[in-house]
Amino acid sequence: MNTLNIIIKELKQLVRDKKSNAIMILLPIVLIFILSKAFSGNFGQTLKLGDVSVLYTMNAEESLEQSFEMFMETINKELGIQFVEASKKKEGLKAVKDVKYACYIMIEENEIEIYKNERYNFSANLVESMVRSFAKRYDALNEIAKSNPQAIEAILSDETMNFTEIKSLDGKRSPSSLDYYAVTMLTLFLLYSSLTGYSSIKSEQYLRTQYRIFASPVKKHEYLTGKIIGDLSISLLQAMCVFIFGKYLLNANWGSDIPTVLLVVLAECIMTVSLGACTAVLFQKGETGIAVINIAIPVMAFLGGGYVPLSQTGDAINKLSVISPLKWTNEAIFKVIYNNDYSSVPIAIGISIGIAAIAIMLTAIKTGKEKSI
Amino acid sequence: MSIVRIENVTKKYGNIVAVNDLSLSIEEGEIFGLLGPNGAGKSTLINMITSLITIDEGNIYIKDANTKSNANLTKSFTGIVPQDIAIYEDLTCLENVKFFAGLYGLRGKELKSKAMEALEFTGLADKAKDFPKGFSGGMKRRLNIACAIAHNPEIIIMDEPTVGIDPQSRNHILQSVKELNRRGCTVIYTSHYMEEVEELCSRIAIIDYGKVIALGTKQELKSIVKHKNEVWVTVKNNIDKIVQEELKEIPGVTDVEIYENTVMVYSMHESENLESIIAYFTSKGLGILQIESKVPDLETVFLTLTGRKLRD
Ligand SMILES: Nc1ncnc2c1ncn2[C@@H]1O[C@H](COP(=O)(O)OP(=O)(O)O)[C@@H](O)[C@H]1O
Ligand SMILES: [Mg+2]
Repeated sequence: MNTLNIIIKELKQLVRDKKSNAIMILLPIVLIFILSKAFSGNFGQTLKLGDVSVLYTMNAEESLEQSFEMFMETINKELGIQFVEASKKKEGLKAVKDVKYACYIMIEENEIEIYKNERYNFSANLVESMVRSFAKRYDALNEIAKSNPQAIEAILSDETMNFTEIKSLDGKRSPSSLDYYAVTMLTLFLLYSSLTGYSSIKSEQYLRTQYRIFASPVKKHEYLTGKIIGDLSISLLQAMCVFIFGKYLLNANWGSDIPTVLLVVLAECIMTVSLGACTAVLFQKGETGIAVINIAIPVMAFLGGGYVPLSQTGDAINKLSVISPLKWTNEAIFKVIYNNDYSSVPIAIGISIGIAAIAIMLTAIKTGKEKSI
Repeated sequence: MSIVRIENVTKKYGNIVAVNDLSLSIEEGEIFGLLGPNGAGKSTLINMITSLITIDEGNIYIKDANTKSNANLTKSFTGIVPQDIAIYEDLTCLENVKFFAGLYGLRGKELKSKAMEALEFTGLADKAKDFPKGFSGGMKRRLNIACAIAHNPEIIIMDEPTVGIDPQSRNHILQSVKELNRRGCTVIYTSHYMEEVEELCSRIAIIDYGKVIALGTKQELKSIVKHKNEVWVTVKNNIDKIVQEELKEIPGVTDVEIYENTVMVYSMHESENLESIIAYFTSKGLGILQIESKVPDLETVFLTLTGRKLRD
C-alpha cells in the first residue's frame, strides 16, 4: 500500500515536470529527424545486395555439396549475391577480417560454419540467416531420404520457394538512416532516464522529505520499489511517445516482432533508472553524481552505436564497444528487426537486468544510512 | 506515566560526542522543552527517538516499546516536524499532507478529511489547492507542521519549528502547539529560543554538549538563579577602562562579566545598589548607551550554568 502511495506521488511529480518531459520526448524526435536526413547517404546504398560477395571453401560430402551448389545458384539468381570459392580456410578468414567479403562460409564434410566480422554487418547477417534455413531444410531432407527416398524429388523442387520467401523480406533487410536513428535515438535517450532515477532520489535528500519518509513506518524496500516503479513508468511513457512517433508518423521500420523489441527496451529502461538511483546514493555530493552520469552517457552511447553505426567506426572502437550495455541492446533490436535473429535478445536483457540488479542492491544497502539523513 | 523514556543514551560522530549518556523521561500530556544552543545535540536526540539514526549506547522506549527492536511501531506513535522544512513544492498543500499522512496508514475519505483538518488547524485551508512554491517562510513552516499532525499522532516532536519566520506566524505556531496539547497530544519541543520554551513548556531540559545540565519546571529552573539581580550596562567605548575588581567592591555585587561592550553586573537579591553602579560608570566618563535591569530568565540560568549565552 505504501509502495502504491509512493508510486502515485512520484507520477504526479514527474508528469508535472513539463520541461523534462518535453526534452525527453521532443529532443529524440527532432534528432531522429535531423540525423536521418543528414546521414541518409551513409545508409542503404552501401548495402545494395548486388555488391555483396561471399567467400566459401567446399570440402563437403557429395550430397551436401550438390545441395549447397543449388542453394548458391538460387541465391545468386534471386538476390544477386556473389559466391567466390577460396582455396584455404586461412584465406577465407583473412578476407573476412579485412572486410573484403561479407562473410566466409566453410563447408566441411557435413557441417557448415560461417565466419563474419564483428560489426553490424547486415549483409553478413542476411547470408547467415539464409544459410541457416538452408541447413535446416537440408537436415530435414536427410531425415526423409533415410525413411522415404521417393519423397525427395518433390521436396527438392519445393526448395527454391523457401529462399524466395526470404527474398520477399529483403526490401527491408537493411535499415535506412531513418530506421536506424528511430531505434538508436530511442535507446540513447533511455540512457537519460538515469537522470530521472537520480534526481528522484537526490531531490528527496535535498528537500529533506526523505527524512520525513524514514521517520514514518515506511519500509526501505517499499520506498525504493515505489520510486523505481514510478520513474520507470514515466520513462517508458516518454519512450513510447518516441516509438509511436517514429513508427507511425515517420514510418520507421521496427520490424514485425514489436513485443520482443519492446522487451529489450524495457530491460534497458529498468537498468538506466536503477543506475540513476544508485548514483544518487553512491555520491553524496550532487555535482559529482551528475558529472558521472553526464560523462558516462555519451561514452556509452557512442560505443553503443548511438550516434554513428559501429560498422562505420574503427576496429578499436568496435572492440571497446562490448563494454557498452547500449551496444548489446541495439544489436539485439537490429538483429530481431532485420534478421529475425533472436540470439542477442537474452544477452541484451541479461546484461541490462544484471546491471539493474547490482544497482538496486547497492542502492538498498546505501539508502537510509545516517549520512543521507 | 512516562510516554517516552530515554535511558543512558550516547551518540558519537567520530570524536564529537553529540549526545552523552543522556537520560530523560517525558510524561504523557506534557509539553516538554529541549533548550540548548546550536550544536547541543537536540536534533541528534530527536533523530534517535524517531529511529532515523542508530543509538550507540543506551535505549529509548516509546510507550514501553524499544525504538531499536520495534521501530515501525514506535514510529507510528509519533509525528515529526523536522528542523528543515520538508515539503514538496510541486505538490499542492493538500497533496503534501495527504501523502505524508498516507504513510501512516490513512486511506480514502478519512485521509482526505484528516488532511483538510490539519490544514485548517494550521490556517492553510484556503491554500489547500495551492502549490507551496511562492509561500512565505511562515506559511511553509505551517505546512511543515500540517504534514506532521494529520495522522493524529500521540506524540508530536517539533525540532526548532519557528526558525526564520515573522512574529505573526511564530505566534500562530505557538498557539497551535498549545492547542494540540489541549487536545491530548504530548509535545516534545526543541528550540534555542528561551522565550518560546518559557512560554510553552511545562517542563524543560537544558542541554549542552549532549548532556542535560538542568531539568525541571521553569520556576524550578529559575530558582537556581533566584538569588541574583542582574544589571546590563552597554557602553559606547573604552570598555577596557572598567576594572572588574572595582565594581565588585560596590556593596551587594557578587560577580561581573563583560561581553563585547556590555557589562553584566550580578548582585544579591534586593541589594538596591543600582545608583552606585551607575555612579561608577559615570565617574569613569564612559558614555552609557543602555541600562537594563534583568528579571532572571532561562537565559540567565544557562549563563549561570555554562558561562555562555544561549545564542552567540
Ligand atoms: N551527521 C553528523 N556527522 C557529524 N557530526 C554531526 C552529525 N550530526 C550532528 N553532528 C554534530 O553533533 C553535534 C550535535 O548536533 P545537533 O544534534 O544537530 O545539535 P542541535 O540540534 O542541538 O543544534 C554537533 O556538534 C554537530 O556538529
Ligand atoms: Mg538542531
